[in-house]
Amino acid sequence: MTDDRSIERAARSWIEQGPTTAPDHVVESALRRIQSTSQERDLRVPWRFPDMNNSLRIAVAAVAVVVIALLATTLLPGGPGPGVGNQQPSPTASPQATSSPSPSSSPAVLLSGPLEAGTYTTSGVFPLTVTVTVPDGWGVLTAGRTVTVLESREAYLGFWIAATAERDPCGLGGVADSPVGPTADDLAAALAGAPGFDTTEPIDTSVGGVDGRYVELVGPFPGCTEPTLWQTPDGSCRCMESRVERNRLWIVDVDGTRLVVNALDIPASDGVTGTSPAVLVELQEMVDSLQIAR
Amino acid sequence: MDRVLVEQARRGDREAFAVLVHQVSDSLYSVAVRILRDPGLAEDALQNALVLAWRRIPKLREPERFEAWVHRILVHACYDESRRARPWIAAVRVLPVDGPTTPDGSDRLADRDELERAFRHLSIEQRAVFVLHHYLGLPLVEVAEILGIPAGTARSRLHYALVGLREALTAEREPHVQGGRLA
Repeated sequence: MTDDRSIERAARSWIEQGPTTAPDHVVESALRRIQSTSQERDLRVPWRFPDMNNSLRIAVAAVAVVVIALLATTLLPGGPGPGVGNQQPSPTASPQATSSPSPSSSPAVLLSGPLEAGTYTTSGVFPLTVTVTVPDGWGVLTAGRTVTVLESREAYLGFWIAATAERDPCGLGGVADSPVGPTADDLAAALAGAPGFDTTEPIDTSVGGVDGRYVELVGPFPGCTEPTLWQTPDGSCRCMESRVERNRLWIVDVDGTRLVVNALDIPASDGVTGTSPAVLVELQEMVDSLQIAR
Repeated sequence: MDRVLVEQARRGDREAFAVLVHQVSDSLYSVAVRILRDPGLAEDALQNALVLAWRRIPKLREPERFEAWVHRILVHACYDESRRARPWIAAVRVLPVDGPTTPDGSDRLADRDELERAFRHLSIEQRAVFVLHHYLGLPLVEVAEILGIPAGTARSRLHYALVGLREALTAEREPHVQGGRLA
């Protein structure tokens, strides 16, 4: 398969493979964002109206001045228009809308894209209501039915509905190949015993007002390739690359739903600049700000 | 594509736009995931493209060109996604990837993996031309129109995409050939 025609044929055939349906949660999420997104109005007017007489031109110009003045009063910050906090069209065509927290008492919804600092809550499709206060510089990597992940350049905070897990995520052997039970304690115990990682013993904890178990995993270490820590009910996996991470996990049961709060940072090592102390503080403050409800 | 729906969406009708979204989202996602080779990035590109399309649709001059226009927005959203450094890609992965296999044997695992790796060597601009031409089946003139580039540039990108694929595949197979000789 090295001549151009056979490469083209094989590549054409290969490119056909793969998903052909947009995930529902992505389309729904986009439509929700659109509900609160203004359009860029097409306000261009013709340069001149050739059939006008002078008095009509003056009248049109006067109307235009009034309209522009009204628009300026309405749209500029501080104006009495649609209300402070309503999203206005951007003068530049940014490819990503920036979510901003609601000025009212109810927090804004976490939607994919950059965030402004503020308090947010998981979207309605997520089975639990998780509220978090986010500093500047963070955004939403994904917000779906079973996983919501906030990210900065150096760390991440994920909320996962963990349905199933492997006792041996690296496939190294040495542990019994039995299913992990459904409780927070079951998952914490399984992760604490995972070969290929440095782990801590599970301890009692409380996060977001809910009691649960806390465990830390550092890894994976050589020999463990792309482990999967757990999977969500719809098949998304908490998969890892082979780079060493520190995962701090708060695992709670909320009315029969197992939630993992996953704070991820990168330990400094030879040739690797770890997560900065400032971002570690931000990450901890975000965890401390959590509120979890059904 | 229903021109009436496009006109309604241009005037701010969100329900009309939602209908359009449902009509085009599968095609847009299919293109995005093939250009970016990552479902998570493709989801973000699709979502950002749809929101941007909503914002800009009042400026769409030719409603009958809606589909090409929204594909152009999507391709640029793919460019943006590919440039975003993201260390956590592997942290969220949806399994399994669905889709048909080919009947002619060219989907052998070894070839698929080799093509996957070779394709990732291409620039994002070359991938876009390749996918629009070979996956959507669009003539190069139309590909050029969607991308907002001259037809010659589209042709050139497609040519160099094939050259890039061949070089990457050859380089990948070189050690195997040598190993075979040594054995």
